[in-house]
Amino acid sequence: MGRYILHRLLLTILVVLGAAVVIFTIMHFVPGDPVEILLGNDATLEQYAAKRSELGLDKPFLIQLWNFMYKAFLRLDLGASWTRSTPVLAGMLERLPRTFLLGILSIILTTVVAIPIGVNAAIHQNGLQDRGLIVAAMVFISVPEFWLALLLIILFSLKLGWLPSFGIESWKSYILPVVSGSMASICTLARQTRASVLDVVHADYITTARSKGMVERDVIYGHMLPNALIPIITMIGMSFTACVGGTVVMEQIFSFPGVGLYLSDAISRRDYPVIRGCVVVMAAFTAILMLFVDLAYGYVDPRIKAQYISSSAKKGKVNEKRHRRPGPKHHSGHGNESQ
Amino acid sequence: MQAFRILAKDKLAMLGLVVVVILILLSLFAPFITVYGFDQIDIKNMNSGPTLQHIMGTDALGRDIFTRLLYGGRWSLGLGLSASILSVAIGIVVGSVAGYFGGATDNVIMRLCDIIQAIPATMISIIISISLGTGYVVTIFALALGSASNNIRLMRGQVLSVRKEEYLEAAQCVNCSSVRIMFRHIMPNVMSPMILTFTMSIGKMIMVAAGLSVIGLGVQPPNPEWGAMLSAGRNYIIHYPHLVIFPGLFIFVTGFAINLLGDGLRDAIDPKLKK
Repeated sequence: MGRYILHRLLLTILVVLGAAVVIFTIMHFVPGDPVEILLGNDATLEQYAAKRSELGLDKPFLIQLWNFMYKAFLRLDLGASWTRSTPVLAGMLERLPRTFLLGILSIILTTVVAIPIGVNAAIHQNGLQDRGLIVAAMVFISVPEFWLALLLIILFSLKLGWLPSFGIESWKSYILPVVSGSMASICTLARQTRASVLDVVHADYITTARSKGMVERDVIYGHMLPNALIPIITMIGMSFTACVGGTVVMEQIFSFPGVGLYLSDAISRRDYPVIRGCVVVMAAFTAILMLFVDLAYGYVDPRIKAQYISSSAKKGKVNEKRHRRPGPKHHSGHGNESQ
Repeated sequence: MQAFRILAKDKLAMLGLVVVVILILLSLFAPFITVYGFDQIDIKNMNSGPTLQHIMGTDALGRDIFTRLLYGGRWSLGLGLSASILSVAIGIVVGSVAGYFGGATDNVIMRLCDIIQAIPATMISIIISISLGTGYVVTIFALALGSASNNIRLMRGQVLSVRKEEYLEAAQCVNCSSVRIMFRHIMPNVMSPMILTFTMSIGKMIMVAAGLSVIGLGVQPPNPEWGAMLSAGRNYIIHYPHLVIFPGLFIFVTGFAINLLGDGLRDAIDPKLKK
């Protein structure tokens, strides 16, 4: 298992480095001269040249790329914001805990609500709960989440006045962003749970468990769910990724002072170092999350661990494809699930 | 063809199809349906709520919302369609190349996909929009490139699944070129999941585009694109919620209809998946 973890860890590091290179390259070809934007039109040629060399923009692309990578990954320095001249990393770290809390709360809400609903629907297949879930899931998957957020704001903040609509004043400020951000993932996860539980519901070991006289609840949560867990974990990981992508729009709607708002602020002011830094950190975060999802498989499903151990014993080499996440069929995967 | 017969019997899927067709017709024949122009200003009725004269109200400039939504369908549906086509096309071409040639080509393409998939799709669309600027065509590119890596992966998997079939060997024996084998012999056999992805992604694309409008990228007002209208209406939400409700409703109905159709399509293409 140790070698598997090490291998996945190395792969994750490579992916994060690669993502940083891709992001830097795309952002490098942004139209317009950043120095001109910074200094305005009435700067002298000397000022222009000085600023240009201060930012390192007079160097060739590869040198700039190397400088960026060196600073970002060896010194943890993502550069300074152009418009506020504060370090990007400090700006992010200040806001990260709030965004992180938002993400964690969404995932907890999603998991706690979706899994029981999905299990319930699968057990009463074609029953009232099942049909209810299918219809509700269809509806809520199609609702754009920021539109839902705006509707909830209209109802709960503007009409009823129960909850604040922007900023963070108290714990109440988290309710609307968390609920509106989780709705789609609750439906997706509930559907996935239903499908994977249905896969095992007629398995022999379930019949065995029942024939031993086990209480139905223990059969469901002790025998069915653990066997259906792999696709569910994949889906939880994917909802979290979707959440990371969705925070930008969500935080903008709720004026929630997190990393997403920091990024969308930077977008409107064309503050490129901040944009670059935020996207790199979010990509790293996603990659690490995926690493944890992959490692979780080994703990949840002994078959995967056994597969690794036998294959590495045979070949002495890790066959990466065997450890690929078994995604749900025909659902286009990953962050694309985000809406 | 059997798939179409199954699909035709699926009432929900047909409902979805009908709604999509109605939406397309509404947007194409907008000038015949409404008496207003999409940028025609009614000074007497600015910010009016839904009335008999303006059934979905007017915006801050006194433009009829219903009219703008009808014309906006051309923009939004066009955006969703073209972004999905582009994204699936990239997936088919690059995925076929990776799956067919294998080896180093495959390795390079797949590792690139790994890297790109580490960046959330929305973020890719964001940085591409920033690099290329806002606007309609740029948004289509940004959306398509953001989701292309999933399609590449899907297509590659499909190609690999038929790579060892005998009819490909036969095609090679009669001296077919690689391109011909890829697109005449492999592609028709592995298209169904791609068609499905294409259908499902149209609604998603419109939603993501609307999200981009909210953060100041993507299609911008005064274009009557649904997402742009929605994000413009956000500023008036306190007093005139209808400016937000109706554009969102159109996006929702489109997405819902497409999802119904897509679900039916999935069952028709692969009855095994039906639970």
